[in-house]
Amino acid sequence: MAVIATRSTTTDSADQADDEAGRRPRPPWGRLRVLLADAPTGAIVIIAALAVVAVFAPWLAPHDPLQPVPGALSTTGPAWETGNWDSVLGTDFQGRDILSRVIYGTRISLAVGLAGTLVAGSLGLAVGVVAGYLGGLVDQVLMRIVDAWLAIPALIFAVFLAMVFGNRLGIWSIVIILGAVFWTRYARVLRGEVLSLRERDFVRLAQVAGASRWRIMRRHIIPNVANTWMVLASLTVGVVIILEASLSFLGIGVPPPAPAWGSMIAEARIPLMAGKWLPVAAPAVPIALTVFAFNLLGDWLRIRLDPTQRNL
Amino acid sequence: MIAFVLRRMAASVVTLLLLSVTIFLLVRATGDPARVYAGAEASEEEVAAVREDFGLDRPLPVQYASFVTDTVKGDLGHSIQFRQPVFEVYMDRLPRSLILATVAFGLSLVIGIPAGVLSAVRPGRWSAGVFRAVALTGVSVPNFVIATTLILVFAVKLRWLPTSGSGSIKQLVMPSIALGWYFAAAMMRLTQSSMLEVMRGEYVKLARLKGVPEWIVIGKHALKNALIPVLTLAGVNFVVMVNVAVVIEQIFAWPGIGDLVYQGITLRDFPLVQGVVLMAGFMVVAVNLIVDVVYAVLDPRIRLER
Repeated sequence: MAVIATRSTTTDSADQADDEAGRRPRPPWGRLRVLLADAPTGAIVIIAALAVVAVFAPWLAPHDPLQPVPGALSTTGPAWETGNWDSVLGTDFQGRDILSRVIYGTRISLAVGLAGTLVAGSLGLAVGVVAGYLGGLVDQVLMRIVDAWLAIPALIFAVFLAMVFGNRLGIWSIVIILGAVFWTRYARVLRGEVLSLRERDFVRLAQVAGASRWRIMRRHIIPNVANTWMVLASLTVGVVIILEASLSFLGIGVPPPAPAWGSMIAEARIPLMAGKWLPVAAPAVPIALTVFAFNLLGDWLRIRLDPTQRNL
Repeated sequence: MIAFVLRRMAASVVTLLLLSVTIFLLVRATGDPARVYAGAEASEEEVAAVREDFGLDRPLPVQYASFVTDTVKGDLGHSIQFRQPVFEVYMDRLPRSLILATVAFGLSLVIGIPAGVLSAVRPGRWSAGVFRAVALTGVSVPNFVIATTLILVFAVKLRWLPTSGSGSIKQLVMPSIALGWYFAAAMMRLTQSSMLEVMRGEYVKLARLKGVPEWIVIGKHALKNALIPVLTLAGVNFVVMVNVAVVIEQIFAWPGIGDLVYQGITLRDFPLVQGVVLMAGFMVVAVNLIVDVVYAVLDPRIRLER
C-alpha cells in the first residue's frame, strides 16, 4: 500500500523508484521472490507435502491399502499400545493397515479435489464468458439456469446427482458430479467481470479492428478474468474436497474399497464409541489440513491478485 | 413498488421452472427413469409397473407437463420405502429439522456477527487472530469431523451428553454446534469484510468528525449498513441448514430431513431424494424473494434500480 500511495501521489519518488529499478534490473528469481514474499509458507509446505505423499504413495505405504495385512487382527490399536510396529496406526475393521490407507487416500482427495475444481472451473468459465460477452437473450437464459442450479444446496444436489448417475464411471462419476455442482459459482462471478470488461477501450478497439467474437473472448476477455478464476479455483478446492469426503462418508462418493478419507471416517465410527479415536483422527486430520492449506492459499491469492486489496 | 414485487416474483417463477426442467431432464438423460424411480432392487415387472404408473412411456413434453402440475399441487410422488406421499413424509420430518436449524442458526448469528464486527474494528488485537483461526477452522474442518470429535469428548470420554437421539435439550447441543460451526465462520468472514467496507464510507468519517462516540459510530452508523449482505446470506443459510444436515442428522440419529435423505440414499428411494431437492430449491427461491422484497420496502434505492 505504501509503495502504491507514494507512486500515485508524488511523481518524484515514483521516478526515483524507476531509476533504481533501471540501474539494478531484477533477476528473474528476484521477481519470483517478490511475488512470493508474503506467501503463506505453511500452506505451501502442506500442499507440497501432500503432493509428494500422493505421488510416491506406493513407496511410502508399508502395506496394500485394499488387502488385510497378512496375519493381522482387525481393529488393532496403534503401535505404541500394541507394540506391533508393522502397523503403526493399527488396522481397520477388515484388518487393513490404516496408515497405508491414509497415504493412498491422499491420492484420491487431491485428484478428485483438483479434477472437480477444474471441471467446474472450465464449464463456469465458458458459460460466464459467453453470457457476459454476448449479453442479450443468451445471457438472460444462461443466467436464469445458473440461478436455478444455485438454488439447490450443494450437498443435496450432489446427493441427487450421485443417485441419478450411480458410479458407472468409477471415480470419475464423482468428479463430474462435483463439477456439475460448483460450476455455477464461477459462471456468476466471471460473467459480472466480463460485463465491465466488455465496455473497456481495448475490447472496443478490437471490435473496431474487426476481430471476431470468439477471438475477442479468447485473446482479450479470458486472459483478463484469469486472476479471478485462479482465486475462485483456489477457494473451491477445499469445498470440493469436503463435499467429496461428505459423499464418501455417506457411502455415495468414491466407491469402496478405495481408501477415501470420508469412507474411512464412516467406517471408524464404531471403534469411536469404544473410545478408540485414532481410526477417526487418522483420516480426519489430513482432510482438515488439506482444506485448511488450500483455504489459506486461496485467501492469500485473493488479496494478492485483487489490486484494490493489494498490500505491497 | 408493486411493479418491483411482480417482476421479482416472475423471475422466481422462471427460476423454479428451470429448476424443474433441470431435475426432470437429469433423471431422463442419464438412463432409464423407470429404473431410477423403482429403486435398484426392483424386478423387471416392478420397473414395468412404475413405467406404466408414472406414464414414463408418454412423450417428454407430456411427462414434463404432468410433472410440473403435480409438483405445484404438492404431489412430489410416492416414497418407495414409506409407501406414502413424499410430501407427507417431508412434512412429518420438517419440525425436527426446523428445531435443529433454528438453534444452529442462532449460534451462527450470535457468534459470527459480533466476532466479525470485533475483528473488523480491532484488526491488530489478539482477538482478531483468534477469530480468524476459529473461522478458518470452521470452513476447513468438515462438519462430520467436528461431530465425531464432539462425540468423543463430550459423550464417550466425559459422558456429559448423550451420543444421539432427539427429544431433550441435551441431545440438541452437539448436533447444533456441529451444524452451526461452519455457518458461524461464514457469517463472521462476511460480517468482517462488509464492516471494513462500510467503515471506509464518508458518513462514518463524518460521524466521527462530529464527535459521535466510537461505539455509536460502529453500532449505529456502520453496523446497520454492514448487516445488509450478512442478513441476505443468513436468510438462505437458514433454509440450507434445514435441508443439508444429512451427515449431522445421521451421526446423531436426529430424525429430520437430513436423516430422511440418508434413508433415501441407503434404500435407493429416489422419489424421496428428488422431493427433498425440489423442496429445498423452492424454499431457497422463496427466501430469496422475501429478502429482496423486504429490502425493497426498507431501501428505495433497491426498488428504483432497473
